[in-house]
Amino acid sequence: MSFAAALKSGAASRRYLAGAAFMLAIGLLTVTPIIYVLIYSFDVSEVGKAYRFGVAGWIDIFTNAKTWSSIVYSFLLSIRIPLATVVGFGIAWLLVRANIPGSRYLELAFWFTFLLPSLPLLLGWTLLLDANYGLLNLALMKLPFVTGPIFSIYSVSGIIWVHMAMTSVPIMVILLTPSLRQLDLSYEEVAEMSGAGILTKLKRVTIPLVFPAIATSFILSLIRSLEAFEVERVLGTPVNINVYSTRIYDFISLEPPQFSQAMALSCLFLVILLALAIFYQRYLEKSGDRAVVTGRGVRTENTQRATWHYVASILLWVYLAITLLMPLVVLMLGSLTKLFGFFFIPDPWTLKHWTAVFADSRFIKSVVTSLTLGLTVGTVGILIFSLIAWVLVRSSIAGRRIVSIMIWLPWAIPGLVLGVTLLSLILETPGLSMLYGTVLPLLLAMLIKELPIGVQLLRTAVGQVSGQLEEAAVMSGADFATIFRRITLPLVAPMLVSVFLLIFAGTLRDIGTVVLIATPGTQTMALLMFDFATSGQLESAAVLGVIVAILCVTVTVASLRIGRGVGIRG
Amino acid sequence: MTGKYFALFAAALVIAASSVQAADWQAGAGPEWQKIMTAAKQEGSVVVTGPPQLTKDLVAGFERDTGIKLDYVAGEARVTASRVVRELRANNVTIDISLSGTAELPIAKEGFFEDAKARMLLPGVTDMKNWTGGELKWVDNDKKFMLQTHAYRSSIPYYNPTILKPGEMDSWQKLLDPKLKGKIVVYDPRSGGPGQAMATYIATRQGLDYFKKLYVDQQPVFSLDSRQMAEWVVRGVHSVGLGILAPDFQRFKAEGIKTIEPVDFKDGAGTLTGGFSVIMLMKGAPHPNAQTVFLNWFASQPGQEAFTKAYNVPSRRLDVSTEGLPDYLILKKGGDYQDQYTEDWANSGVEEVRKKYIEIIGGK
Repeated sequence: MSFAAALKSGAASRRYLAGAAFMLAIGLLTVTPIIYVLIYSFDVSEVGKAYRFGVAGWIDIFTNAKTWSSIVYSFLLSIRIPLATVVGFGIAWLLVRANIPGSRYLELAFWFTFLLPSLPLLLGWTLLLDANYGLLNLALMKLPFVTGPIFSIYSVSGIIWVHMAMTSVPIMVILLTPSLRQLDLSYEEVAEMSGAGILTKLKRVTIPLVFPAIATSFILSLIRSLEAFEVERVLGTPVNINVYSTRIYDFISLEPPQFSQAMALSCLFLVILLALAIFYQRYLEKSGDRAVVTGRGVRTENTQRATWHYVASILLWVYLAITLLMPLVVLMLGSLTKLFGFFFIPDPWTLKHWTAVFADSRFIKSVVTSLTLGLTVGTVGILIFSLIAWVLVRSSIAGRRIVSIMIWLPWAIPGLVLGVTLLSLILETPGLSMLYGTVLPLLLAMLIKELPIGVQLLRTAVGQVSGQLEEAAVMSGADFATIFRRITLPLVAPMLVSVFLLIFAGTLRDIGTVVLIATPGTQTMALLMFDFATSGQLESAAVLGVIVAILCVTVTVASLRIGRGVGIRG
Repeated sequence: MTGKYFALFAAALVIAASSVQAADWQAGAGPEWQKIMTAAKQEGSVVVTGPPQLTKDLVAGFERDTGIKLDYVAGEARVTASRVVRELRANNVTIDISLSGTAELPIAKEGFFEDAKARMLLPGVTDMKNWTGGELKWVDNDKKFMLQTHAYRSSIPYYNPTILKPGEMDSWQKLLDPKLKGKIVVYDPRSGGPGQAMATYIATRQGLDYFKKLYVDQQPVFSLDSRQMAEWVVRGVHSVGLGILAPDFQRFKAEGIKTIEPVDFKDGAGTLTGGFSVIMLMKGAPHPNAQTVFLNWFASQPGQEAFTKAYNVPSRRLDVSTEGLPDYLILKKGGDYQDQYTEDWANSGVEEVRKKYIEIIGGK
């Protein structure tokens, strides 16, 4: 063998070795729970008894009309994602490319909307839009030409509206603004100089350049929409609207629990998710990464404003007043009422729920736990996820395509099933079991849960940075750590801040994944709020909801300020 | 001025009385108890899982009376049960004690619980004079694993008296009135808890035919949220609620709401329940001594009072006051209540009935 061939063969071996090690590490985190779910979908033993193989769970999900109906409803309700993509892109474009007045505060408000815990806001929406006692309905019915309730929140349209207002549109704005911000203004200027109008510019330049980010956001939101739980549980159950995730919850909460059915249904969803992931992977490979950040420098500010900029700004403030302010005010008022939502009883106001929450010994503990966990998972998460994203985009190690698909797997199973699975894996795996009772399983669970969104978003961001910049650093003799720290991370900083906030919020809001593995001293605010809500203490849940909202605003403002410090305009 | 001194004197008396009470629960304890107490203090804490409503009163009461830390893992019964089962199966137990209902009966039969009877050491706990009927009530037939400390009336429908007149609500048959079609909200019986208790009671006492008429033909709305159900009755969205939990009804009553009331049917008084008062001791628990201390404290007067205060339901201990408790929850002598908190009941073919009524409402 010649020296060159030996060198080539050595490089290939290293490529395969590195690929195998990378795949193993990601596989341990993402494939292990799936294997567990698959195995236990065939466990037909009674609770507390040893494993017994059977296919009853699978037969049940294929023959159960309710399960099929829930799958149909899941897809029907996901119609909100294309709608939210269009609206979200439009808003993101207005905020970043059109630079409308107050865009910084508007963007902050969208972040705020998304970060708010959904359960208390949902209660706010119910108080506004219930067909029987909703405040908006009651107000509208005072008009001479209105004879009955206009809105009915317990319906398909009600569920779609609440999702659009609370999460679908805000997340699109959040996901798309960093990519639009990284887009060099010169691309659009060239189009303008060639006589293109706004629509042509959008169609020919802006949308094609940020399309990978749009596709990523669409796929992420679509998968998350199929997994949505709380809104469907509260608004869907009374009118027989069941979706895939509420059906799984039903199986787990049946007496006795039907874990095999829950696991089998999760596996079925896995097939859908894999199909979407493979489709997305193929799209990425076909289209290639589109570098919009190059060595020429980025110019994004457009300071010329016309009347329509001001009109758009006013319309967005009105939109936010409806989707954010209104339910928030109702939530705040709810926390000050003796009975949540009963504004018209004699002497309805009280501070007793606020004093009770502050006097509760669990409150301060839960704030500390939530902040510690959120900040730790956020910080560790962005470091690990950006490394994985870099490897997927830049390296040539073997098996990257498989890893890209593996990354999606944690979203194949809903939070509660992931929680059950992780609990069993931690308890039954020698070596891991000693970690049970510490905060580490909690950290691990949240990192696994946030892996898909973190890696996919950062992967898109890294893909938008031209590889020439890193190649130039290599030629100047910089090692990997220096390049990653000094070049890659600063260039994807807008997305890093976004991902950090998304992970932080996800950790702050999560209930299903951590409810089973949280130890007595590690109860988060979301779990405490859940305790209050499930024991009927909605007023105390509302108090916590307001406190979480304040906390979210503080962290959002602080993070975006830090982001601005490293060159992000937010 | 006299009034002020009198108030101060009364307050001092109350404080003194409660201190005596706190100390009294260990009265007559032998040397073995002192050893266990010392060892429990060295263990430092006890981990108890149960419903969220109990957190504040149990933690405050237990820590006040024993000086031992109580780590309370609150959660929905179905979620905490899932955790307990997995810990027991993996022999990696972090929870010492579970406060729940009867769903854990199969686990008890598998031998996963400690003999609680043998761990009851305090004279005030083992003295049968302190308990209703002069005996302890056990859910399991072995009479040593699942101790039920509270007993009260349940499976009572609630109605809105501004929509239905009290006279209109005097028998189960009245619920089949066509005017109530679509106006009844029921706790989904597929998920255990109050919905299952209510549905099983109706199916066994009134028959499956009646069950179908009520749960299918009357087109009720199913819910898994007791507070929401109570609120719907209060607001008149629905006229009747089946499976509403007593604390959710009482929450509205406490604020002077008059649009919800319990009904008292002449042809069926409801069930006898223990709610979440069934105490179980995990085998292989991390704090075995603190586990024993908690069991004895819980079965003593201050422990039962803490539970009663939190849940507003009567204890089986005779020295726990029923003053201020809703009268309709207290079991009346000679009342025809269906006791669903026994192993015999669980083995009486009730599972078959459940399967049948679940089929009637469209299966799982």
